[in-house]
Amino acid sequence: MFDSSLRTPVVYAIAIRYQTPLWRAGAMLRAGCMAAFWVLLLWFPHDTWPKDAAMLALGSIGAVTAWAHNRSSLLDFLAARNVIGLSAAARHLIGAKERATADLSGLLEGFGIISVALLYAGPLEVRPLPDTVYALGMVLIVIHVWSAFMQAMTDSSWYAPDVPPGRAVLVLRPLMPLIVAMILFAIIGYPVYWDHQAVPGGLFGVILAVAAVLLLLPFTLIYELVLRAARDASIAEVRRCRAEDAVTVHSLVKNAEYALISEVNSDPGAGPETRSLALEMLALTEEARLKLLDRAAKLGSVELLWHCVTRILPSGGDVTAELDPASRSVQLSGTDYQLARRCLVDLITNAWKAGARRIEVAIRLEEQPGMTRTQTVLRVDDDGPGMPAGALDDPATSLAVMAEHLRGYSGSLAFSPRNGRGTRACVRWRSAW
Amino acid sequence: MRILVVDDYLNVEMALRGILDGHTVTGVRDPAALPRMLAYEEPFDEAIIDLRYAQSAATGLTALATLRRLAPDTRTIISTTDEEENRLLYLLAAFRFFEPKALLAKRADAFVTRAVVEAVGRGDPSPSPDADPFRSAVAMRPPLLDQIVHNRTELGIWHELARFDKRQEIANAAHVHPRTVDAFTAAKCAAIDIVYAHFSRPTRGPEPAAATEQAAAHGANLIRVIHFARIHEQFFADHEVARLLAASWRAR
Repeated sequence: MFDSSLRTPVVYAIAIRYQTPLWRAGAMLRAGCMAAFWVLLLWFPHDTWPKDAAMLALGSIGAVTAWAHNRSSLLDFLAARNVIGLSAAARHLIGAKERATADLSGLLEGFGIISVALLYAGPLEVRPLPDTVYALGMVLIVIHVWSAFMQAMTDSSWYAPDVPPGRAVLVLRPLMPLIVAMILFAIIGYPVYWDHQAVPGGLFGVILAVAAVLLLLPFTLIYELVLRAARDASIAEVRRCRAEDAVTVHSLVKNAEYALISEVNSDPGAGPETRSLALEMLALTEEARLKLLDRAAKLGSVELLWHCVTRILPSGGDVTAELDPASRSVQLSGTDYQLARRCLVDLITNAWKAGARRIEVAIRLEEQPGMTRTQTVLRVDDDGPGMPAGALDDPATSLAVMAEHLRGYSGSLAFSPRNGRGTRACVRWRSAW
Repeated sequence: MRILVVDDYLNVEMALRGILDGHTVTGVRDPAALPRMLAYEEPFDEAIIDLRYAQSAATGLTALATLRRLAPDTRTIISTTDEEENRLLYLLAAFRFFEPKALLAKRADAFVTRAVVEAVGRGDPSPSPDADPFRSAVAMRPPLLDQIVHNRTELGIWHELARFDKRQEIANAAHVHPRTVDAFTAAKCAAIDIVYAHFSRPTRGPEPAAATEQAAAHGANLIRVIHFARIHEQFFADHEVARLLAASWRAR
């Protein structure tokens, strides 16, 4: 009935925040109810006072215990001293915090209010009682029960992700209002259905009290709706903040990168490695931006690689870059992904700058006979004017630098003319870790 | 020498290949891939290990633990960007639990990098003094990291301090009572002072703005400790850290 998907850190944090003031207010409210029961005792027959006081005692101890549960300094004080019974109780209450379990204060309050209710109705009821006192007593009993079980039903420990509640208490949770309502009906309905007394409110009053307790169930369901809404609102807010951050990354970092690339390209002293790194920064920034937006595909996916690498091409230009559809599902290791990014940035930029208008890319992992590791093969076809002879021999070119890097990965870079017009660049290396 | 580079950014490995010309440099991008790699590769003489990984839950501590288990003869060097103040506790933990041979700043020039790597390879002390504050922090009695986190309850409180900012909420979430939080914040403020005094250069971020009402509501100690907890949030939530700390507490 209750939503187990709410057992997450965000919801738990919301529930803790909700519950902290509620605990204190609830304990004070129930203490107030108990005080009122003592005051109402003045209108009870004097000869029953000793019995009445004894029956109020349990609930009163429960109220004090619930109050002490929220007074850590008092628990500290008691736990540190060797006071028979009290020290053990204090240590128990300290240990029972934030656990979905029946603790001492809960049990004392539960049995305490039953004991109080038995003063007003049931086999131990005190008579005669003024109608007003009886009615006030009933109202206080319902308020007490409502407060205690609302706290129990909405306790943050139901949502603790690290220490989930036990199966038995999870089953008990939706049944709790029904069980409590039945107990309440058995006690306060007793004068009506057993003794046929004319008590204030009569059967209607009893049904009203029981129905009020049954409302705990829809109340808790509404509480869960609010929790779910708060969780979803938090997630939406996080998403909005991340989108703002993505805009910041784009406007601050990318604009600076474009300025840097422009400067590097116009600087004859800038080496090929510097030019490649400056360009690769653009692809990296796009990766970071997508990650912020939570739109990045799994790292290592060629789809993500392709999206980021094509950001280096001028937007609105007449260059078309296409990825072979079969390559989209290829998953690369971390090293292979970054190596492919580096190679693609260089190869696509070179093709575009050489005047190519159409660039086609394919990425494959090829099994090698007798080898445990595959080969990563990257093919870039373009319709440009073709590679100048000896491009790989000139150490001032980014391609020569790339070829040198690839040798470190047992790899190679080769160019071949395509039929008709254009060049095919083929890069391969032993797939890395 | 055969040198392993554990760093999520390939260009770091590429740069080291150029700097460490004459040595064999191989890399891995994610510490989680280390066991598989070590099973296939020849043993390494040295490993240069980054501490944090953008796309992985594993950290440099995971890499150090894996190397100690599977390649105990490999000498380790921690590589870090010293501007990142949230690396401090990871560095303290690395030196506390693994005794790496050196600490190498990523911004170190080629000369220093080569000198450090080769000195470690020869078994000589590192010529870079970067690791000295961390070694002296480990030599403190009790070690500085233990002053920050002394037991499981404290680790739990640190974890919750990053998520909550009210004393009662922190206590509830950490399953302790607020007095424990008070005692904790008082003790940890003193430990934070020691940390800041010991690492005056890289670690001290801007102190939190002590808004008057905030200070009145939560106390200055709590504000300082929350600030520290949020800087090091990932450290306090790291499962590898929890495992290492738990093992050290058991060994006490």
